Amino acid sequence: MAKRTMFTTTLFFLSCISFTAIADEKVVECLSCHQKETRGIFQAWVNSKHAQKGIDCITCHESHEAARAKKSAVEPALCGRCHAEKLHQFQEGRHAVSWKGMEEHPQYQALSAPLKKAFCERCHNVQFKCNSCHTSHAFNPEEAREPESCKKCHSGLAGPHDEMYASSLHGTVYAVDRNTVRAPNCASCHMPNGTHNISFGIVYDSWGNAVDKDGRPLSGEQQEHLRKEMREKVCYQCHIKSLTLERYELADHVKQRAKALLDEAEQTIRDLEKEGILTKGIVLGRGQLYQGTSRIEAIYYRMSQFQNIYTWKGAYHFSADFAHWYGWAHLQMSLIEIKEEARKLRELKKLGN
Amino acid sequence: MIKLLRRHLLFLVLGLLSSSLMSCAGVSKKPAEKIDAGFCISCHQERTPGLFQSWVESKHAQKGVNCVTCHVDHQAASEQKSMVFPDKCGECHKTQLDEFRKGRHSIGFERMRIQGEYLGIPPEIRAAFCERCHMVERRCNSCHTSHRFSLKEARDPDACSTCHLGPDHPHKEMYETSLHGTIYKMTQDPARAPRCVTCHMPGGNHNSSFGIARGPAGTRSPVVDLKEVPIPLEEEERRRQEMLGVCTGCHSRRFAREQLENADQVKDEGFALMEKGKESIREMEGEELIYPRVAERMPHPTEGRTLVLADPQLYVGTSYIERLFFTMFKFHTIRVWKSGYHFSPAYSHGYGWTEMQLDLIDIQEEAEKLRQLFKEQETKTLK
Repeated sequence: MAKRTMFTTTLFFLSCISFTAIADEKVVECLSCHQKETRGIFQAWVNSKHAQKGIDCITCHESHEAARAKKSAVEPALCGRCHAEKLHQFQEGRHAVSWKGMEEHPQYQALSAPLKKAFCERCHNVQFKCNSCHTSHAFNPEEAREPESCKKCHSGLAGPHDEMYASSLHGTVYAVDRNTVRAPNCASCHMPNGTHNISFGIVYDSWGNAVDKDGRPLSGEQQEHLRKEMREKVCYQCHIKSLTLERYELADHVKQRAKALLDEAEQTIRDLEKEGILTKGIVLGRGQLYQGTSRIEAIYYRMSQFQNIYTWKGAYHFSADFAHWYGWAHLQMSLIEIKEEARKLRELKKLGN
Repeated sequence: MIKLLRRHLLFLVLGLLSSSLMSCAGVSKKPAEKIDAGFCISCHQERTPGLFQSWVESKHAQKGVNCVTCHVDHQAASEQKSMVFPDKCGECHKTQLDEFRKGRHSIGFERMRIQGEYLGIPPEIRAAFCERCHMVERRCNSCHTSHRFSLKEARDPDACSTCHLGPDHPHKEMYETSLHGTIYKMTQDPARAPRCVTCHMPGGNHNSSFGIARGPAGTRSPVVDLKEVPIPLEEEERRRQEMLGVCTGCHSRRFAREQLENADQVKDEGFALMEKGKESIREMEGEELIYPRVAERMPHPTEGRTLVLADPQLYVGTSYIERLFFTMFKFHTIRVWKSGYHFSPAYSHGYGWTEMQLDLIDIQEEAEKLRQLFKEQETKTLK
C-alpha cells in the first residue's frame, strides 16, 4: 500500500511539473497536508480513475482559497468541462431542478433553517452535486450504478423506491446475482446505456401528474413517446411486447383506482368545509403541510403523500405486496378513518348548537 | 464481447442440432408447422437479449433444454403469454412436482380466488396485487426465475422475500432480525445458520408446508390440510417431529422442543389478547354504535351481511373501530406468533405484542368515545 502511495505521489510530482506551470498552486502543496489530514479522501482519490488520468485536486478545486470559499463544493458545470455529454443529459432530467423544486415547496418554507439543512437540502442538493451519486473522491461509476447509491435519497415514507424495488422480482433477483443481465437495477431502467437524464421514460411527477421536468403538462402523444422509449430500450431486453403492455396498463388502472379513493376522501373533507365545520381554503395534496392542520387533514396527508404513492409507484415497480399492503389496504383503511372522523365532527357540531 | 458472441454461436449450433435431432426422433406432431430453437434464437437473441443471455448461462442450455422443449411452439407460447406450467416442468422434475403438490404453494391461486379480500378489490387491479404472488401455484419460475432457473438464486432468502414480506406476513423481516438470519447474513453459510429453505425445504423438499404444525397464513387457530380440514393431533405431532429433525442439526432435541413449545404458548396468548378486541366490538354492535351498521353496508363477499372479525375480515367499507381491530389481527397478531416460531424476540415483542396492546387501548378508547358521543347524548335527548 505504501509503495502504491509513493508511486502515485511520484507520478504527481511529474504530472504537476507540466500541468501547473500556470496555476497558482501546485498539487504537491495540497498533498503535503491532505495526505495526512484527510487521508480517507486522499486514499479514495489515489485509487480513482481521476488519479490514474492525472486529474488532481486543483483540476477541480482550482486553489485552496477557491475551495475554501465554496466549502470544497465542485459544481456540475466544472465536471462538465470533461464530461460534457453527461452534463447535458443530466440537465434534461429532474435531478437538475431538484433544488429549485424544493425551494418552492411550502413544506420546505415552513421549516427552520437547521431542519431545512438536515432534512431537505441533503438530498435536493443533487442539482449541484455530481458527487451525490459518484461519491468523493473515488467517483466510481460502478458504485454509482448500484441500487445502494440511489437508496440514500430514494427510500422511506415519502418515496420508498428502494423498498419497492427491493421487494419486486427485479430487485430480489438482482440482490442474489448482482448481474444486470439477469435483472435490472435502478440504473438499468432509469439511466439505460448510461444516460444521465434520470427522467428518461418517466411520465409522472411525484404527484402522479403527467408533466415534464419543468412541470409543463405532457400531451397524450408525448406520454406515449416516453413510454415507448422505456419499453423499447429497457423492457424488451427481457420481456415480450404483449406482456410489457399488459403490465403498463395494469399499473395505469391501479393509479386511477387509487386516485378515486383520494377523490372520495377529498370530497368528504370539502363537504365539511361547505357545512362550516372546517374552515374554508384547506390545502389538500400538493402543497399540503404535515403540521398545524386538523386531524382529518392529517389522515388525508398520509393518504396522499404516503399511501397513494406506495400504491401507484409500487405498481409501476411491480412490487405486489408493497403496493397492496402498504398502499391500497392503507388507503382503504384511511378512507374509513376519514369518514368516521367526519361523522364525529358533525355530531360534535350538532351538540355544540 | 467476442467470447460472448462465440458462446452465442455455439448455442445456436447446439440448438439447431438438438432440434433437428428431435424432429428425427418424431417429437413434433405437426412437422409442417414445427419450429426449432434455432428459429426462436434468430429473433430473440436480439429482441429479448437479457432473457436469451440468462438461458445461455443456464443448466438447461448446457443440457440441450431449449425454447421449444418448454414453450412447444410460437403459437402455443403466444396463447399462454409464454407461461410454462408446473406440469410441464414435472415432465423432467417429477419428484419436485410431486412434493410441490403436497404443500400450500400448490393451492396458492385457488385459495386466493375465494378470499374475501381478493373479491373486495376491483377486478382490473387484482393482478397487480394478489395474483402476482399467488401465481406460485402455476409458476415454478416464481422462485426459479426465468430463464436462468438458478438453484443458487432459488435457495437464497431473497428469492422468498419477493412475496413473504410486508405488513400482512413479514417473514423476511422476522427472519432477518432472528439470530438465524443475522448469522446467515454475515456468513452466507447455511452450515453456520439456517436460511428459509433449510427449515422449510430441507434436503430440497418442494413441499413448502413441511414441518408446519400451526397456521396457515390466516390467523385461524387450528392447523388445516390443503382442503382446509383441521388435521388430527397425531398429524400435528408428526409434523412437529419432522421440523425437530431440522432443528437437531444444530440444537439438542430437548432444547428445540422447548423453544417450539414456548412459541405455541406465545401464540395462545396472542390469540387470547385478540379476543379482547373482538369483545369490545361485539358490544358496540350490540349497542348499535358501529357506523356504517352491518345491515346498511355492502355485504361481505363470502360471509354476507354479518360482522366479520379476524379472518376473513376486510379492510374496506367497515367501521373505524373494526378497522382498528383489522390492524390488530392482521398485522400485529401475526407478528406475535409467527415471530415466536421464527425466534425474533424484538419483532415478536416490539412490533407484535406491544402493538397489539396499544391497539387494544385504541379500540377500548374508541368504544368509550362512541358511547359518549352517540349514546349518552341520545339518552339525554330522549329525556
